[in-house]
This record gives sequence, C-alpha cells and structure tokens, in this order.
Amino acid sequence: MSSALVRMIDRLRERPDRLRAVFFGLLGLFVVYDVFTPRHELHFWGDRVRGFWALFALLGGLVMAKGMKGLGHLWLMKPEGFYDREED
Amino acid sequence: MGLMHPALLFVVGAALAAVLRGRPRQVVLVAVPLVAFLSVNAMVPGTYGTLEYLGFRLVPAHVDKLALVFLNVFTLMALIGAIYGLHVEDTGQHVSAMLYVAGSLGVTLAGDYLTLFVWWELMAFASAFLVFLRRRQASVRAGFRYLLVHTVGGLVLMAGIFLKWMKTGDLSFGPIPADTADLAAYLILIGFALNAAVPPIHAWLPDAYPEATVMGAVFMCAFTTKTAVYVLARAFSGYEVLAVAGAIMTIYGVLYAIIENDGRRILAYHIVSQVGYMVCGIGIGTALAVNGAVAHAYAHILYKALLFMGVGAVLEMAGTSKLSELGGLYRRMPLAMVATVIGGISISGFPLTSGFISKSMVIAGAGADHRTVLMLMLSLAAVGTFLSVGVKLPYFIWFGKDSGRECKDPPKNMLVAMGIAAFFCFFLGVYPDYLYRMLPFPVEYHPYNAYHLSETLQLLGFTGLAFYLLRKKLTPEAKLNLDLDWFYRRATAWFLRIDRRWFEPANEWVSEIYRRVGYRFALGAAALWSRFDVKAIDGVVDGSAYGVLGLGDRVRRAQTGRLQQYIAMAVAALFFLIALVVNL
Repeated sequence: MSSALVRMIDRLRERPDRLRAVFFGLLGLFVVYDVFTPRHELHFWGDRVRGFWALFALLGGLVMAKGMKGLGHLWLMKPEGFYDREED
Repeated sequence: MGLMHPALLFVVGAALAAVLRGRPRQVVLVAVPLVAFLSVNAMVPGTYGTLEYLGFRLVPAHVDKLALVFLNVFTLMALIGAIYGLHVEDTGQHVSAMLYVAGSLGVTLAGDYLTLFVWWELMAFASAFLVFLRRRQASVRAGFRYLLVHTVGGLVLMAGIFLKWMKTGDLSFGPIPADTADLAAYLILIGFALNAAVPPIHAWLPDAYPEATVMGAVFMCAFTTKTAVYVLARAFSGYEVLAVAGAIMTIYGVLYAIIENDGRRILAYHIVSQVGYMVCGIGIGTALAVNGAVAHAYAHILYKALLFMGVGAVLEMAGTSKLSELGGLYRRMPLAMVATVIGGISISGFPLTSGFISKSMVIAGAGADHRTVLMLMLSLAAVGTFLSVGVKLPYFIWFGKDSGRECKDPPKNMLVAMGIAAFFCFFLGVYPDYLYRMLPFPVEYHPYNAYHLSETLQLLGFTGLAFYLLRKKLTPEAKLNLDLDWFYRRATAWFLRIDRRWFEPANEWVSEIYRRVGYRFALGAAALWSRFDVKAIDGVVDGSAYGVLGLGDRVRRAQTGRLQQYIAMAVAALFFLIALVVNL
C-alpha cells in the first residue's frame, strides 16, 4: 500500500502544471459555492459578503507570514547557540 | 457503590513498570491504561470516599460530566502513548509517564484543593523527568527551567489555596463566580493559567517539550495543558480575562509556529494556540462556548498527539526534527507521512475531521455571544494553523527538496499508536455525536451546515494560496527565535555576569580589608580581652573564692562542739529576729 502511495505522489509531482490547474480550479469553485450558499445565522457584516473568508484567509496568511518573517529577521531570529554562551 | 480510583491504578502501574522487564512490563504498560479507560467509561457521577484529615475535608474522587469527558480522553491518550512507547527500554520514562498520567487523573477527580495540589505537583515533577531523560545537556537545562517555572506556579497556586482557606475555611474545588473573585481566586487562576501556557507565562512549553524524549513529548503534549483547561473550566468559567487571553494565545502561538524551524517546537507553539481556543471558550462562558472548549480539548489531545508521534518518529528514524535539515522523506517514511498529514488536516479543521466539529464550536460560541473581535481573532488563528502545521510542516518534512537522509518507517507499535489516533481524528469528524454526548451541557450545534462548509473551504483553500505565493519566503531557517523565556534565561546570565563583575570583586575587597585590618584588630582585641580576663575577671572570681574560703575558715573555728554555746547562739538569733519583726 505504501509503495502505491509513493508512486502516486511521484506521478503527481511530475505534473506540477496539472496540479496547479486543479488547485486554482478548486479555489474558484469554493468562491462560486459561497455565492450560492444561503446564510441563516449572521454574526457580523462579513458574513453577508460573498467570498469574504477567501479574502480574509489570503490577506491574513500573507500578512502573518510576511510580518513574522520580517520581524524575525529584524529582531526575533538569533543564532541557534544564542543562549548556550551565557548558560555555560 | 465504590470507585476504583484510576490514578492509583497508574501509581501501581508505575511500581510494576519499575520492577518488571520485557514482555511482562509491556503487558502492564498496555493493561493499566486499558483497564483505566474501561473503568472510567463505567463510572457513575457522584462523590466517593470523603475523609477528614488534620481538620480538612478531603474529597479524592468527585465525578461529574465535565470530569468524565476529560477522564475518558486522558485514559484513551495514556493507552495510545503506552503503545507508542512499547519499544522503549528506558525504565525511567515508563515510570515517569505512569506517574504523570496518575497526577493528571488525580487532579481531574479531586474535589478539594488540597488533593488537587498534591496530584498537581506530582504531574510537574514526573513530567520534568520526561525531559531530563533525553539525557542531552540542552534537555537537562530545559528540564530544570521547566521544573523551576512550575515550582513558582505551584507556589502561587498554594498561596491562593491558603488565602482561600484563611478567608472561608472551605477548600472544596468548584466554580468561583467572576463577581465574587478575590485575591485568592486570582492567585489560583494564575497558578492554573501557567499550566495552560497563557502568555506571558507560556514560554516553558515551547522551551521544554521539544527537548523531551520522543515518547515523553507525546505524553506531555496531552496532559499538562489540558488538565489546566479542565480546572479552568471547572472553576473560572465566564472570566472575561480568560476570553481575551485565550484569543491572544491563538494568534501568538501560530505566529511563532510560522517562523519556527524545529518540527516539535512548531507543534509546541501550536499547543499554545490551540489551548487558546479552549481558554477563550471557557472565558466566554456560555454553554456553547464551554462545550466547544471541552470538545476541542478532546479532539486536540488526539490530533496533537498524532502530530507529535509523527514528528517524533522522524526525529527517531532520521535523527533530527529540524525542517532545515529535512525534506523529501515521503519515499522513505510514507506511513508516518500519512499520520502527520491526517494530524495536520485535523488541526486545521478540514471537513470530516475532528478539528472541524470542535474548533468551529468555540468560534460559533464567540459569534453567538456577539464577540466579533474574538471571533475574527480565532478565525485568523485558524488561517495561521493551516499555514504552519497543515502546509508548512508536512511540505518541508515530506516534500520540498530531498535531504537525502537515510531512514525508514518507525517500528510497528509506533505505527499502531498513530493509526489509533488517526482513526479517532476521522471518527470524531464523521460521527461527532460520540463526543457531543459526553459534553457537560446539552448540544444543539450542527457543524455540517452549508455556510460553515463554505467558510471552511475558503479559509483553507486561500490559506493554501498564501503559502503557494510565499513558499520560498517561508523556507525554514536554522535560527532560534526569541520569546519571553529570554527574561529568565538572559536575566540569570546577566545576574551571573553582574555577580562576577561587581559582587565577587566587592567580596574580595571586603575580605582583603578584613585580612589586613579586621584580622589585626581581632588579634589585638583578643589580647586585650585576655588581659582583662586574667586581671579583672579572674581577680574578681579568685577574690570571691578566697573570701568564701576565709569565711568558711572562720565559721569552722566558731564551731566549738559545745551544745550549750549553740543553743545560746540560737536563742540570741531568735531574739534578734523577734526584735526585728516587732520594730518593723
């Protein structure tokens, strides 16, 4: 079973264009699905906006990743032995 | 009807694990949690075995719905962890793990603070050994930091318990309404919050867990923080401070997970984040939010253990858990890959997995209570969760650039344990009523509705897009990230430096002055005292002695041996006394 799984992954990795197309196709489908999804319980204004959570996730993901990497390089990231010197 | 206390079962199990070896020990390791799991499922709510001790009313076993759901998942997790560690020869690890679970179960059943405190401390000490026993210098140091932080937390908890006792004379462990909370309540809250890794008192967790043994980390990820969630849910439901702190936790944990390099440290930061959902739900305090917190604790224990087991297997088989040194392992460890991917999609809340039916309950609880900001924070944390554990972690371990590391899937017992946890991830996702029936309040929540499904698919899909766009930027870097443990790790180093620079020279200086001045002064003073002793003290003492001797000599001469003289002297003395009394 595990070798079949490995072969399947190998095959998928050999076809990155198809994978990409499927991925973007799915993203489009999710937004279209949201357009036609009925809203029964609205908690705030964002629930009314079609595709709100798509935008929220994309922007949230980008800002968190870029922000934390930036903060890391600016301040948080230190060499791996940073504390060892003091603790010896 | 009596009750077999499951904690005592684990204490006996620990003793047996210490003396047995080989197959008999393996049987004990599996049998103890299995029997405990079955006995917990047969437990009837009630209070068992109350006793008076030194004026305290102790309640070692109080069972209700809230306790039962935690006991259920704790014993199930103990069984999974025991199977995962069956191949481990190290006796210390098995004994520590058994005592650690015993502590956790003891806290869950405790009906008074004194009983709770004893089991609470057992948990801290037993779990510290799961860090020490990795036997690396970094682990021993992390273990001591872990122990010291938890000792401080334990002292704060004890101070709260003492204050409560002094004020009320009551040590029963139950809900403390937010509007009656006093200093004692808040000290107890801080003691509990430390174990729940609520920032800013959270750094012990990502510091210690990645340094634990492979088996130890699997146990640790399940018990300490979730026992803290249980005690918070029992005593502090509806505290606003917890609602806010929990929401902050969810974001804090994922932000660090995004930039971390060590796989087990990523997962450790994710515990902070996931426990944040539970703390937030408890803080909101409505039936839906508390149910969500408890459901999420149950689901989280299983998928987080699955992730720790998967990454632990990588550490054991490939020799490292650092993402910067891994990549392309799917060919060599395909079954471990499947396990971690299932854990990853569960924690991210994919439909049909446990995260989908538990995390959304907390978020819905925030929404239903019109807590829009909290709800958006929890949703943003869900984005960060998928970004870091759902995509980044598996991508850089299993796919990405092949590291060329020689390794293979772990031993069968580890795969079986991962299989059980993976099964529960799907089982709870497909059949949520199994979990919902155990929750403390009646459940009217239905996770599988069209809008929730649409919201989830968008969140996951477009987080995936964010990762795709930034995948090069997110390449792990072999760095250490500063966190609030800096304060006590650097502060101690600074203290040593200040000590070496200022206190030690000052001490030397004072010693030198003493040698040069004080010593001579002391000698001179001693000589003076000696002379005074000889001349003055001895003179007075010797003089007195000579005086007494002379007086004795005179008295001796006055003793003539003639009776008539003694009588005459006695009569004279009598008259003298009578005259004295009359004149007075």
